[in-house]
Amino acid sequence: MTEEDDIDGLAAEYALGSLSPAERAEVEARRRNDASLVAAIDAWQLRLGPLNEEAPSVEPPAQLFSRIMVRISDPNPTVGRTADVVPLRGRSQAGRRRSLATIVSALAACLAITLVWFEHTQTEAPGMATSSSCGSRYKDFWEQFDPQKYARISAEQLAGLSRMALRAYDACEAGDAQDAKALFDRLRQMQF
Amino acid sequence: MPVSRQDLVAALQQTARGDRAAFRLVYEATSLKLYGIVVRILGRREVADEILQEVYIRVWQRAGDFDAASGSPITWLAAIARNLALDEARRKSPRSLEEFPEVLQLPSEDDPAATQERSEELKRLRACLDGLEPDKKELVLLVYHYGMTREEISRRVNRPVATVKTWLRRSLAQLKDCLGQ
Repeated sequence: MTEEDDIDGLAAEYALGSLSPAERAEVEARRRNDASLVAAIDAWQLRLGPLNEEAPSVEPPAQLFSRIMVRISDPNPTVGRTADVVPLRGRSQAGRRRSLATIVSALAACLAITLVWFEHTQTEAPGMATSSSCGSRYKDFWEQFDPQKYARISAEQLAGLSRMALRAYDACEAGDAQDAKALFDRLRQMQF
Repeated sequence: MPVSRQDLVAALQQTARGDRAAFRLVYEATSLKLYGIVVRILGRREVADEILQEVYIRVWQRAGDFDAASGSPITWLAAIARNLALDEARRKSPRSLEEFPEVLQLPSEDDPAATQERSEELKRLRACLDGLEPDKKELVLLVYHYGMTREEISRRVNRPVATVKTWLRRSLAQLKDCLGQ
């Protein structure tokens, strides 16, 4: 087997999706510096791409777009990139600890930015009653959050709390008052 | 929401310049399909929700990388969705067969309406897939649609992983020859 065949076979399986986690990680590392591999992957994605027509159309949750907009509204790109690599699950303990340290600093920055952003939108757009009241509820939650709790809760709990607060805000923005109330109530009642 | 390829290309180009209305149009035009792709690979909706968010954040950040001359916008978007979904699925690999939803249903070959709606590109690819042995064709489609790894297939068909790798590589080489591209 020539090296060219090997690259093409690897690219084909990468585009198809059959590689093991280790091989996939290897391809992703290698493609950063290997133009021939990138070209081979692109060609295979084009060849197999028509199969995407056969994928079912499934309606995503209604509030998903507003969640995305909250994420991209973050004016600090470092936070966005950090959030991009935060694992959803798994990874080694060492990697987890490093990620958690990053999460804590990112969350602190994110919270500060979000509060500034909500204050800004409230002063700029007083006519947007729904938006500003959702922002107020979100802001109130964090303002009333006992600072001493930060010392007690784990980084994972803080991340979970932050996600839930954003979900509550998204639900409020999406007009789902019942869901928003339930989430804000749960947030306030949480014990650590 | 049906949007022409030309409109989607324009919306992606505007998204690359930070146009949020254009980004919303991209989302509205493509999220049903991309969510379908992600849900099928990941099986669980709560995980798929997180991944779909990551997909569109990546689209927002990298819309400038899309090159209309080298492929269709939906192929570019679907590649992002598939790669993120596959990476997430691999964090928990190998999955048990029970974790695959819908009993691994592949698109029906007998539905004339679905066949009629196929693009010319899909018709050509399907014709080449029909040139493979039926069991190899099924494997290729299961991997593409459900993101099964060689190890997962190996357990499904009760054959060594090395054999599965050979089958897949040969099948893909045959497809490439048939497509002539």
